[in-house]
Amino acid sequence: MISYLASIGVTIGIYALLALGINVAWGLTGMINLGMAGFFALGAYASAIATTSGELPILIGVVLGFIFAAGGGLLLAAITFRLRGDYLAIITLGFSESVRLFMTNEIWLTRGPDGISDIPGPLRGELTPRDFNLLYLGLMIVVLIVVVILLRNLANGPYGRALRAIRDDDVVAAVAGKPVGRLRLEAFALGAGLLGLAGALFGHYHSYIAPDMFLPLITIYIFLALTAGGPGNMLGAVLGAALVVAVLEGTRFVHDVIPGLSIVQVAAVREITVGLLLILALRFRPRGLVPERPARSSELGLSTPRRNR
Amino acid sequence: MQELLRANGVSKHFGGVTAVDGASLSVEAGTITGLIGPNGAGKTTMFNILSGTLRPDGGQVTFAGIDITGWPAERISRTGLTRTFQIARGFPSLTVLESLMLYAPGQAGDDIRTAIFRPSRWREQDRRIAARAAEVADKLRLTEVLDNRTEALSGGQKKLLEIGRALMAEPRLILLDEPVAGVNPSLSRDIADVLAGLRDDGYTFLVVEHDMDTVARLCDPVVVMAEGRDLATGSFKEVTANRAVQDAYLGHVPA
Repeated sequence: MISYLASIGVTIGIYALLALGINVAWGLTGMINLGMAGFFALGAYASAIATTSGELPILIGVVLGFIFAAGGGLLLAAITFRLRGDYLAIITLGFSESVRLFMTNEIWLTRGPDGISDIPGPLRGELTPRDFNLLYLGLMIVVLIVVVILLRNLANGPYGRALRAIRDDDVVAAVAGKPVGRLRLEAFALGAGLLGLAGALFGHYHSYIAPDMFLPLITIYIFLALTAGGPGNMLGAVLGAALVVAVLEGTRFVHDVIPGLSIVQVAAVREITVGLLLILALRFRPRGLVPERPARSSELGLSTPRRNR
Repeated sequence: MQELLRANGVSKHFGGVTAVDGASLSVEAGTITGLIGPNGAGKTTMFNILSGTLRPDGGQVTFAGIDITGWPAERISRTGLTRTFQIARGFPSLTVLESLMLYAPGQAGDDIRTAIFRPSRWREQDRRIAARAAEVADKLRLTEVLDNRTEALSGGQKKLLEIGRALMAEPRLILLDEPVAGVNPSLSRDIADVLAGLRDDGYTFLVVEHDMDTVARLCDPVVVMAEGRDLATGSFKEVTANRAVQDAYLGHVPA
């Protein structure tokens, strides 16, 4: 049971990293990235190939996963420089599918639909499966804390302010003297890099990756996690991810609560619950469970504004 | 008085239409100079040329002694000439404080590495910027809404914030495009008072405005444009007494 809970914890961590990546590009900057699964796969494959065929240490592989996905993000953002909204969404979705088809067909590099197995994990050989899960959960938590702290630096300062301004009105943001083009490229690439980091950690945990693990459905789950948690808020992204994984995993036990459901029906209950959750979140907490929090004057050393009469 | 902005014989054609036809004007430091004229006189085109949104076909624009003719907008704003827009635009989800702080030039935290890895380098600067933003908000009577999202402001407050954002860019001259259009008379008097206060603090403005009460109260001198040319310059009383100006506004009435 502890092992199972630890593995759920790791999954929450990976979903949380994905939600954080989407949060930088979409939550803060307003750039829709439906290509999430593609960057997730890019990071996973980069790290897996580097540490299996490449025989590099896991840490280097994970860094490569981040760099490859961020580079891919930079490239895609540069190509789609003038696209906004729906058009950007369609292109990124296409990118995601292209990555998956590439991974499926370029067998010389990715072993195609068979996937890559025996991806090393830290101390996997020396530990029992239970201890490995716990160790990985610990590493995951450390990574998550570091990422959240760094992203809060980004979001709560002048940089985040500029990104949110671009999200609201990019023309006026340019009039304000902000280098809108550079900021959009950087935000998209950083977000993509975090998706790649999540992918790399996913691969090293499961020791096996294959193209069909990176279907667009996961993108929907992550957007749900962020919408429910609070777009623009880093803690909201983590909380939303935990919530979505709880629903996805919790519905496994529906069978025990409502006997007589077939396996197919249990799967349907899961999708219904996820859909219902999204509708409820949008209806009752349109800004998420932990909404974006603008900088308050008191935090910036100003006295609290009050009517002076 | 020191001359800050000078336009000499500026012209602009759009296809066969001549929008500005050799117009000249001058803005002296420390004034609120009005730019008035009937619709189609070329005021907005003139504004767009002065702020760099449009390139003139002819003529010369000098700002603080520098020839800025044909410069792009961002280069002109960095030189200290900034503008507002007729319809207030802005950032709905940012607070008033954040909207103001956004405009401060030279922020260390605009660099992604500094932003993420060296927060101590921008935190202190951010506090200084916030203090300056609070001063600007105070001048514009926005202090009590400092922490409100911009989307929650009234129309008049949005107009004031538009002026405040321009002030944060540390400009030497601000072009205001109809600062009181669509605002009720009592609030437009408030905005005029605020602008007069800013002028007394040493700011310089060039204002396009159709509301003659505001122009009369605020602007000296006033430049009148008609059919793409400058028609008259002087105090509000002088230009309104000018026969050519009356003809331009009312149409020529033969005696």
